[in-house]
Amino acid sequence: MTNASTQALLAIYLGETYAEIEVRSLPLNKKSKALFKKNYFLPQSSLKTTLNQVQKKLTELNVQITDSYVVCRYLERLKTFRLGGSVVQVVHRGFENSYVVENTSRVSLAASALVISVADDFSTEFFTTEMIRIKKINPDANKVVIELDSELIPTVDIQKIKDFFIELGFKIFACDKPQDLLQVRKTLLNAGSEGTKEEIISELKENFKYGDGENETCTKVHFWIKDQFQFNDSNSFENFDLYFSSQDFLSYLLKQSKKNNLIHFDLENWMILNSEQKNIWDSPWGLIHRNYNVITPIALHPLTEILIDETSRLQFSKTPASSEPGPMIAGRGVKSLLIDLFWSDIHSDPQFKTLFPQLENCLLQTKIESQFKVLEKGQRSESKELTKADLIEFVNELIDFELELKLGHPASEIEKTIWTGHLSGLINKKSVPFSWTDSIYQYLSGK
Amino acid sequence: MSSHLDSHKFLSLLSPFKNASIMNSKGELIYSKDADSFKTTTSRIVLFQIAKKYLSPKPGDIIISNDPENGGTQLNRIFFICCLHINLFVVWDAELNEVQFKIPLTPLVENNKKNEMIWQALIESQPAAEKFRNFFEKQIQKMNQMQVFKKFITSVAAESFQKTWFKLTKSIFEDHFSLKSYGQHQLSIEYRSQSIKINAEADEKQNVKAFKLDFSGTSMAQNFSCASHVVESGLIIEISKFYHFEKCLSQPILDHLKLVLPPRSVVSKSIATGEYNFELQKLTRQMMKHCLNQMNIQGKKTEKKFNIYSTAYLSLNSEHLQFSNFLSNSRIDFLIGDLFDKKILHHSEREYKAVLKYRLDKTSQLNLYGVKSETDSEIRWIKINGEIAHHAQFILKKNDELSFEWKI
Repeated sequence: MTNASTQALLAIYLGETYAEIEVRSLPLNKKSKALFKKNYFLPQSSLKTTLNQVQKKLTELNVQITDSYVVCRYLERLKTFRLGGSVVQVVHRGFENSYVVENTSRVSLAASALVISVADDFSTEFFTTEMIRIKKINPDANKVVIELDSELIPTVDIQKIKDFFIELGFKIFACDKPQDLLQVRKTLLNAGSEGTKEEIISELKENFKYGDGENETCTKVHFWIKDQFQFNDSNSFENFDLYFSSQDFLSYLLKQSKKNNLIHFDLENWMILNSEQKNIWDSPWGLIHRNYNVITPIALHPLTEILIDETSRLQFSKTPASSEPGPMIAGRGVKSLLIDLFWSDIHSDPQFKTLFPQLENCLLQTKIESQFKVLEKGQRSESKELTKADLIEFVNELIDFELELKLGHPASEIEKTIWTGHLSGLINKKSVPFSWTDSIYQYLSGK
Repeated sequence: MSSHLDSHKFLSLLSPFKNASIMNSKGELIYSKDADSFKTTTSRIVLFQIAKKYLSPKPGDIIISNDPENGGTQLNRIFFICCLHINLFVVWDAELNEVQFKIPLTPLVENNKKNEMIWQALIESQPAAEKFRNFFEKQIQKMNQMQVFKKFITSVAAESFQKTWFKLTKSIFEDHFSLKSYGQHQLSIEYRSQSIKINAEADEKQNVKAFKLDFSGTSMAQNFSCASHVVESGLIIEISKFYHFEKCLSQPILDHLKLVLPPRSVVSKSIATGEYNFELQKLTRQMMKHCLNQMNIQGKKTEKKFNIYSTAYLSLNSEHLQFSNFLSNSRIDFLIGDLFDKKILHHSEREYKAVLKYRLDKTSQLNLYGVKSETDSEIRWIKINGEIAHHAQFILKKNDELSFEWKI
């Protein structure tokens, strides 16, 4: 890269299933135009590949990214996983996996086999022996959560334990109040999410680095946390905050709009967000302290499957389908998902051209239509069979119904609400087209 | 156009509630939802009928009651009978542990206005008036939220809609019922030194599909009993779950379920405190589930022996917190909060252990109910101050110890 390269900022919405990426040159102002903008359906293109494609394009354009601004929903994919496969826990004896006892149906945050229970009179040899056991179970264990109370074990001894693990190359996550199960969960979640956060940062830094040797520089990564972008190296946020990045960003947009509610219809989730705040997050792993704006999900999800049940009636699946292979509109899906109902609207909307390029293919369009014909002909009905058009009408009706119930007024009263998300136009024709990256640049240029 | 997918609208309408029913003026069930661990399907129908008979609720009215001897279950569970339309009612229940006195059928809201005299006497005069006010105002708000849907309410209240809906749900019931085996199964157990007999039968006679459950021959209830609607509520939910018609549980389905609960079987006169409700509902549900599974197992060789498993329900009421904790053979929901110092809190290989020391200066009330199995007492127990506790009310004082070991 020469000195003549264009300095630019990268804005990225890194969702659970898709990424929206835009680059604008510096200096940034309200008239800045996009040097590059594209959406990627992530199940078909990994983050690494996606960023690599962006990097190649920017090299062609002779553009250099100084800072990357990330609004993130990427960690949502971890919510169904058992986390902490490489996380060791050091706990007081009698407190092994304590965080589970309050609710046994929640997802696990750490591997039970990687627990080291400490009596009051432990020795260094004890830890050495325990580490031999741990390494046999998982040689890649590289993070440790130390859940020890300084009122029970002297601070100096806790420090010795930390030093022991630091020497072994472990990253330390400390929880100084092991009686507080909310703090235990938060610390475990920080440890369990470290790998994914590092993946995002390292991919951005790897793809947007310039110069060689001592002159090598790379992009600075900023995540949206609470009400602003926070520089990754500033220690101003914790890993678990990343689960709220996109929600926090929408809360910021709601606050800016001075309206009562934000209605979000995107490719990944449908919900209402309001200005009421809660301070305890009922996470998939149990309760954790965190301030956030209350969200009310809409019962239907864009990836809800439309299927024929065991009595041959049309039904909506209880849980959304997996994002891999995703909806039929993305090219590889074989199940009829709710979002597929709206394929012709999506096809005619230019904002989806780069996200669902396969939709240009007439064969795919025919396949989608045939799938809905199969559902129409295969169903048993006491009255008239439900056609695709009936289903669209029903879905719209149900959404209107839910919105009105949850808002307390018809959703059409748009002066009381702000609409966001790429699919908001399908539900409310009057809504303004939405772009995550546009909103990010609006924030950055208005700073 | 009416279709079975309308159940999604009913579910949305009832989303603010854990347990709720939509009914018409005849008391016929249009839609039902039971998400609480204690089921009240039939209790809500019974209370509606009583309210209708004595107070004839009109649009914009909310009648409340908690009387365990008159359609209710426990004192802390308040039932709300709300009239949305002359032919459409929503009945729901919600818990407020502070309520430890009987509320007979009472018109809390009339024509969308609070009954000031009742409000003053029932809510504002309480020592915990703010808690009462918040609770009841929240419930009234739920009616206001539903009333917005005038068009929907009018359409569901129409006889023509209900006729079509009932026809649909009956057809869905018949289809699901046909997917399982017909047959019968008998089960007899000893519990609290008494005998409980249950005979379950799924059959089709003259094109009528029906499920019959008969407790005849049981000689259980003397002091240990509950109202029949309490047991029926649990049994209906167990049957709906097994046959997968929870999403359309309505009157035509109830009409196909025949539950024979003779007086002095597991049910008899209701008890003023409702203290055996949870235990009897859970126990009979366990028996019901076993019978349903057995009826659908091919051949006697695979017949499984029935073992009762212990369950426990703990309601804990302190000045600032109200917990309802539940332990069964498949899950533990045990919110500890800041009421206890944790001495041990441990999980390994599906075994859960806790030793908790009550830490507040002010006392808290702990109510403990549940099914007590003789066969799992080694792996599932609760102790208070070192003594096995099963069924009682306790006042927790500072440094009292609550402990449990529980395998799931």
